[in-house]
Amino acid sequence: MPMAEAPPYFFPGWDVGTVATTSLTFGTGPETICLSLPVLTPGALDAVSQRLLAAQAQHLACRPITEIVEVIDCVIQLWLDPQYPYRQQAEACLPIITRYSVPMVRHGLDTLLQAFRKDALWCLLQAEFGDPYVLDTFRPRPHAGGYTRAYGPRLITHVFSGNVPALPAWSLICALLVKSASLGKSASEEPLFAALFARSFWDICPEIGSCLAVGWWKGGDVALEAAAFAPAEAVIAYGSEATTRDIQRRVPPLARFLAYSHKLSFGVIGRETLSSAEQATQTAHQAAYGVSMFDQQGCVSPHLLYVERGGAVSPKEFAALLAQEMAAVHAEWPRGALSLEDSTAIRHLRGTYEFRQLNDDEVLLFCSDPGTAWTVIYEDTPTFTPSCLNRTVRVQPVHDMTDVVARLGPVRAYLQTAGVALSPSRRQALAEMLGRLGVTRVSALDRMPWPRLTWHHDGRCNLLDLVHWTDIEDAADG
Amino acid sequence: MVVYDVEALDRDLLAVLHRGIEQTLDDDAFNALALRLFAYQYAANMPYHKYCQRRGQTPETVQHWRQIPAVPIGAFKELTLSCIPPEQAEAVWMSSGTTNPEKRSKHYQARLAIYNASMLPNFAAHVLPEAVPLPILVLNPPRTILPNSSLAHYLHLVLETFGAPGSDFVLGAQGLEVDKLTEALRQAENSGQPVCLLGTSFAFVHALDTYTTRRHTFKLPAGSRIMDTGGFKGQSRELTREELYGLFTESFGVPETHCVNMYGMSEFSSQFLDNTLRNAHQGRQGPLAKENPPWTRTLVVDPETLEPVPYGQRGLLLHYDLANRNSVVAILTEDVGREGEAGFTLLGRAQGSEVRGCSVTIDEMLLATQR
Repeated sequence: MPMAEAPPYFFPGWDVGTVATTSLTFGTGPETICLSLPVLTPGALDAVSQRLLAAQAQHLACRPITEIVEVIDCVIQLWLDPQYPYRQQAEACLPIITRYSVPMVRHGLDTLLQAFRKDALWCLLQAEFGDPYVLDTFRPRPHAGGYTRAYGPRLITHVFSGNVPALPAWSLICALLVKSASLGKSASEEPLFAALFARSFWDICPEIGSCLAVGWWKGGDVALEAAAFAPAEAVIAYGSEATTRDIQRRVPPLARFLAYSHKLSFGVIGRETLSSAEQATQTAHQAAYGVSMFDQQGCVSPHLLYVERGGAVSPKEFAALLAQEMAAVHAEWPRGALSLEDSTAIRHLRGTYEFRQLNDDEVLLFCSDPGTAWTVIYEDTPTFTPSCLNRTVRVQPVHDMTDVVARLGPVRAYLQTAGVALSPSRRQALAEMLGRLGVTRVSALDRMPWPRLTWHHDGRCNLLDLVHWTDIEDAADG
Repeated sequence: MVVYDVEALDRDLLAVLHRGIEQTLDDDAFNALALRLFAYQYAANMPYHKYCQRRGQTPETVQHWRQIPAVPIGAFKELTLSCIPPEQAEAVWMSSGTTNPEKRSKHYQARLAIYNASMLPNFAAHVLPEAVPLPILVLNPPRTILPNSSLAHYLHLVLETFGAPGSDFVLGAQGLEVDKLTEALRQAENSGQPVCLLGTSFAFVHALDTYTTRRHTFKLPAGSRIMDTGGFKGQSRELTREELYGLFTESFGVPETHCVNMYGMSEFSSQFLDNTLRNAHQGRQGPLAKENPPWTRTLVVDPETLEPVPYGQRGLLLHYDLANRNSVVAILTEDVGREGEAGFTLLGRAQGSEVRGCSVTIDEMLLATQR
């Protein structure tokens, strides 16, 4: 039984030794992990928040952005080192906690964390602020005249979700970039990563580390969340629409509230990328990779792929190629173990289609055998049916890429990433239509799982949405 | 096509059913009959034939009942799984179809005699082990209102076969007939004549709610009993077994030993009933379980591999029902259960699993489109 070396919480300056504990258990049989966590009270959370506010004022508010970026980069470099103890702990524990396969966890950590290197952080700062030093001092304001400065919230409370490990890093890093302290509530499904990540800052730079705290309580606890939200100037929540809406009701009126709720993503494959078997195979591989990362649990994961007719390779043939590539991806990054419920959903969906295809030539089912590792369903229907996930993907033929607009109409409120395989000019044309529909990101199929740090996440700014501005008007302006 | 001697098959099948549930059917005998049924269904049930062929599992390769290809229960919504032309069926059972009324499963019964021969002895052994007819009060609409409901047929037949004078339906087209039920219960209290209440779990909740609001409780005579069936899917209120049976004791004075849950589906021709009352009658102690009548087998399988899980672990229930003569013998359900000493326990539906992804789930979508 692997022992967790570092605890799954992080409260700098608070000795939790005497506090009552609760535990969360993951895995079965010999592969079991029991995480012991302090039982939090409103009083304790309030004390944690007061310490965070004090630390932010002392160590973060006036720290130059350059230094903050350096420290973040340092932490990311440590995490990218396979020998780094917290990384090793994460690699040992996350497969048991999340049930993702070991290669999937490794690949996911590497790829996600790589995105937070120094260059990317500066890119993000520049993309959003133009002049990142507005975070340090008053800077001349181009076009408008006068001076301006951006201030982040003193304290941000984050409510993390557990579907993609390492995702809390994004939220915590954004907070640091706007010089905010963070109180993170980790997810019941994966309470470890955020705590380990925060702890890394403490090891590298205790002053910045003292501005982060991560703990766990059962989501929806009204008394605890009242204490966690009250001192926060912003709350960032990840979760279902129902969860985020419930949180929103309880966030104090003056605090900012940013929600990242559940989304639907899809792919569009143009006939120009199906002009030969070789090209179609390559496209299928990119699609299979996009579907399979994090076992399709991300909001960026495609539920279905629209494939244009009229290419040398037909949509049906593409489905067969996709199946072959799903198997190849599974061989490299195996699908994780599923709960009884999730396997059952796939099993019964397959059963339905196994029978449906007996009577309908426009239905095809391809699947892994004997397990449920991957499933490809080809069906000629205009209806958008969400996938039961865990590498279950539908292929639906379209006469023209523009047909997808009407098909997506009923689910437009949820749309997020469109992974496309199209020529640049057609991509542009489709993006115009998809943008109007509500899609917030158009990427290559194999980039779907890995959005750029600079992406307008769900259509909004990552940093600008957090700050407030203070302007100095020049006397001459008046 | 092979001409199959269906009459001989039915004769042998009925002989097994008529032996009742006290005599076990050993594995060899079960196997022999199951393989004959499989060969017949493979030959006569075309979609099933293709399904088996695609998997390379045919009467030539299948040697044991465990190898008979199981059909996922949802297949009954997709295709007609019948060995005879559907119009020749004596009855067709349709699922209530709460989730999607357009896609209801259809189960064609070629001969009701087989269905009846399976259900009657099984019901009697588990609900009326003393073999003494009781007044039966049915909290479910009669067959005339629900002609395609297997449950309506089941309850109708029970009432007709075992009901003593005073038996009646107390739920009609207008819903629960509270006055009629109250009167019948009061009469039982006064006369000391035990009664048998049958109905869906939800109909009972409705009755219990009504009596709770009226602060009305009954103390039914000893020997009174209740059989409920079905769950609470799609209903506004859900109760656990403990809660429901606690209320049965509180409101009707019927102890838990005399409460039996019947687990059945329109896709099957046999049912699985709790051993509670049968144990009480025989003076046996033992853990609660659903019992397999001799002409059925249940495997608890891992949905990932479809192989049986280690003894005692949770898994999906895969039933083999020889009384499913006209459709398919083996059906993989969406029900989660566990194998035990005396039978299996039903733990619920494998649905509504915890949302792990940040993707929109099908349920969320359904809710959104209904808004």
